[in-house]
Amino acid sequence: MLRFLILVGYFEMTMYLYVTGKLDQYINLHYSYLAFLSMFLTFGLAIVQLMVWMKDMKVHSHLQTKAAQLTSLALLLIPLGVAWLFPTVSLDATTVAAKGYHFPLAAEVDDQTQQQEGTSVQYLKPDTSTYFTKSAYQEEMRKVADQYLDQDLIQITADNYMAVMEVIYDYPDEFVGKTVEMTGFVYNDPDNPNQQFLFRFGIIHCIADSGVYGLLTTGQTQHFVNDTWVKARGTIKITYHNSLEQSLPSLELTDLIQIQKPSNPYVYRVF
Amino acid sequence: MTDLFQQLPTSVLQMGAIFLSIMIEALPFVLIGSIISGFIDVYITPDRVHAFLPQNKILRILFGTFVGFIFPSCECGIVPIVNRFLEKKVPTYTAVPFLATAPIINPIVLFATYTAFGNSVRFALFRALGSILVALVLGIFWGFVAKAPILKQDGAKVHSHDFSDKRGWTKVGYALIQAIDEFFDMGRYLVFGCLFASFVQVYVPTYVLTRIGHNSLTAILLMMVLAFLLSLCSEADAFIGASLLASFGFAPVMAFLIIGPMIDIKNLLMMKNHFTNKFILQFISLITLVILAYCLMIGGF
Repeated sequence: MLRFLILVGYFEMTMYLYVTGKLDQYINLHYSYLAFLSMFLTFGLAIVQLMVWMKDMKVHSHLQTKAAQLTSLALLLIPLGVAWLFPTVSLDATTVAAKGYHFPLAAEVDDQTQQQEGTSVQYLKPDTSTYFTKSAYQEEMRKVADQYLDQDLIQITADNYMAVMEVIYDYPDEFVGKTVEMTGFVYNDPDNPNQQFLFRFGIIHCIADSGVYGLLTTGQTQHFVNDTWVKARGTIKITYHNSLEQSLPSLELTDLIQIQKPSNPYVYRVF
Repeated sequence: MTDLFQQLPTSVLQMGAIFLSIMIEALPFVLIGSIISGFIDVYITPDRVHAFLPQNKILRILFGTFVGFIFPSCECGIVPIVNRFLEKKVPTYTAVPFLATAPIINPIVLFATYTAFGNSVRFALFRALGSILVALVLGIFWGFVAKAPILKQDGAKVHSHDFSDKRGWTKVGYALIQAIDEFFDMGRYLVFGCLFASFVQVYVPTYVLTRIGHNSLTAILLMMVLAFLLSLCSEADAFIGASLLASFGFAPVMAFLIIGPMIDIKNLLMMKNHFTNKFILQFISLITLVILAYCLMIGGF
């Protein structure tokens, strides 16, 4: 009976996450077919288990000891407990430190590539000079970059966040002087009190593989604590970051206002 | 009740969120794995397996290595399937190469790799080649060197229950019943593995690993450890690998991509349920050595 309840529980958990729209707090909705697959399969298995229970069939089980049966049920209840009882939280600046806030080491890389280095550990930035001399990737990025370079004011929204960040890091020199407007949370630079980062967590597949993506900002007049959500406007320039020993595209701020945390703090990789 | 949990430290709640996200990702694959395993249990008999497999040992190793190409699976679902194959008297030297390559050389993962590295065939190709090389070494080792059975003899003993008297829908029903049992068996290890992986993600800063100075040898080893700890889905790990390319370079990232789907926390726990410790130890050492050699070699170019 417990097995039936757990299977139904998994079915309902997935449906609950989907219906309440909480699913996008865990995975990229591009992969929501995974949730449908789980719903479908757990529902089917629950029906089968219901029949086993009703007909009181003797089932040949692998779990022969009492202990194995108990741990099986107890462990499988954990995800259900987490789904329903834990309040939904999102990743924030406290996770940045643990989850891989670091910059690519620049020791063995020449200046040209250093300028292309991304700001975050999980930033999709193949080292084109070495591996892809004339690949489709470059053409693709070039197209995206040109599209934004034509605009006077580049608005970075939740939808184009990942794409714009990628081209800014790929062609930092061409974006210098461009006016950019973006939203993100504040992560104060641990090594320089006059600088801060504006980050958002970007999800590729699920939040386990998410990373922070964003820009270094300079020239702010106000100080915000970590995790403050802000809307920023400024111009792109190249700043040499001392402790990271590399040049990064950065945002010279002209406006910075505090805003409410967006209803969905994440941005997603679009395929 | 929710208020009570609201009191928990944020990091615990975030660990919960990451845990749940890995579960959501892995759940359908484990379910599919369990169902396939249930059907194998009911429909495939040792006789059938032997009629189907090539007779020659070398051909059998090759069969195990390449069959993953047409067998869509993910590293979460592969262990119960392999276990069931072994119970059906599929030889070790066919099953083990299958265990190693299936999560890598299937079309979905190769395509993800191709996309992640900016539509470059090079990475997908080297990834597939590396995994095939590992599989061949494993196949030769268990075909010609090690002879001991790799399934645990106690607890999960070889079942000889016979379903050949069942027909039609009843037989399908029995397959699904076995699938449910498999799910409750595997699920334990999945949950535990996901808990551990999410713990690592929240509490072990990755820069501790990535800031260790590296030459090519330590970098390759480091990336292997990272792949093990992160326990990413083999569909998604290429994207993470791509992001690490700038800091580590080609060979270490290749090590990350090849070892990740073969050994990580969650499938190690699942393996521990079925296989002997000796096998797991040999499996891990051989894989590590082969990947190390392969990556040092391709790094030399």
